[in-house]
Amino acid sequence: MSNISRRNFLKKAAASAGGIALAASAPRAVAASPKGAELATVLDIGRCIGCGACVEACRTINNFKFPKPKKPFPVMSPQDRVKVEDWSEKQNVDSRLTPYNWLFLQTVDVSYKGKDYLIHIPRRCMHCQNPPCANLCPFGAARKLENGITVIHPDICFGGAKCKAVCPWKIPQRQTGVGLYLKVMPRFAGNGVLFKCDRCFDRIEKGKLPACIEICPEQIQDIGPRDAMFEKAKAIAKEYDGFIYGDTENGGTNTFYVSPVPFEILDRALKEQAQPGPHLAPVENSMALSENLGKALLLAPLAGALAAGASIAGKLKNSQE
Amino acid sequence: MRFQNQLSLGRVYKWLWGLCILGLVFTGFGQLPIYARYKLSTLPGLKWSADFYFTHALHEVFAFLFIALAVYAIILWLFGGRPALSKAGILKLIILVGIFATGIVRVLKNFHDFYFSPDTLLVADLGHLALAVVFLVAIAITAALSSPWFKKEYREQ
Repeated sequence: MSNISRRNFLKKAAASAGGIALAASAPRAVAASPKGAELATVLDIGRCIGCGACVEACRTINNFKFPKPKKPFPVMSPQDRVKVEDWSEKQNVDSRLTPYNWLFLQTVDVSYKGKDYLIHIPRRCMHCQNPPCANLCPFGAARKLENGITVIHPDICFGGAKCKAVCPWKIPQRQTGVGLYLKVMPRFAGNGVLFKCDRCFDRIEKGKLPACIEICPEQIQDIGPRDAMFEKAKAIAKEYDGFIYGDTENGGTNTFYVSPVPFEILDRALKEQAQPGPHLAPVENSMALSENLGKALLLAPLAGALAAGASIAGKLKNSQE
Repeated sequence: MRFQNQLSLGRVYKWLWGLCILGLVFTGFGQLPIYARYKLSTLPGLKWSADFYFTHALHEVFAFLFIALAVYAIILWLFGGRPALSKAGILKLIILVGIFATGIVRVLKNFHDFYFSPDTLLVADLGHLALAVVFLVAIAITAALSSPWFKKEYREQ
């Protein structure tokens, strides 16, 4: 059985079994987190079998949130700079991130310490602790919830894709022909709505698990308060002398990947094996400069006061002379 | 006898203030994804205008200058006879206070350990943008009408 057909087989089997489980079983409750504590997930990718059940569950559960664009799309100016991004005719694509597919699997063949590995990596939004997408969104459409989940409000987003431009992993995906821009100046501003994993925030509000976590037949994922999940990630890493990705990336994220293979090797393999989508390279804190300049801003009144004091002192001295 | 209808802030101050407003407006609108779309960033020397992180940092540098200049003026006003603001001056001051307040929220939200609710940030984000537009309109109108910041009045010296 080829790798692809094996995956399709596993995907279908796990999706059917998981779908029944999702529909029929009483869901496990998300581990209680103290107020203000952020939720994080841990993914033990060393145990992921690449069945794709998480991808299918995500698509099924979040289907009602997917865009329903109006066609024909309005003409946008200037036409050579603003491109229509339409995934509505390709909703079945599950091999990359799209507005209709918020989670997908990357698969790489790697060797490490004389051992061969086939590693499957579920990829979606990392839910950064200090998310540049939410911090830099000019309209407040991308927003971080108190429990650490970052979401994009589909009724506020204008589709400028700034969130994607500033995201270190380029996660959000745009669909033209939906959203607020249609009601304002569709020709001159905006271009749809950006979509990405919202960690099933609506299910979490009801005490349920995100679909991808609940359905996983291997239970490679867990969700809970960040500190507890980081401890769990460290324990898994210690168990097989593994590595963690996501704890310090971009200043810290609420997603921890644990792998038996170093992430530099996985990242290199992603490029060499032409796997689409987000990388696994180290990421500096995107908001570090902004935070430092923000702290410096607090000193601006002092600078003004000192300058004024010097000016007044100079005038007094001149008048005395 | 002389007019005391303005603070004696000097020519350098006025140039700095103008530069600061210009810088804030340019980098502020640069937070909207429009410079790349409308090819401004393709003009020679302006490629940086489409770099959101760069224009954001520059906006904060101009904000530093803006706050320092504002505090400087306020202190000189306190110690400089406190000339009365005109109606146009009061209007512009109110708008600037609003821009400052919403701007501070936007600065604080970028700190790792600061949290504001999404609705608070929505008000701050849209308010900051709307007030900036209103301020530009106010500047244009008061410039067209030659309305100064301070009332004209004679003061015996």
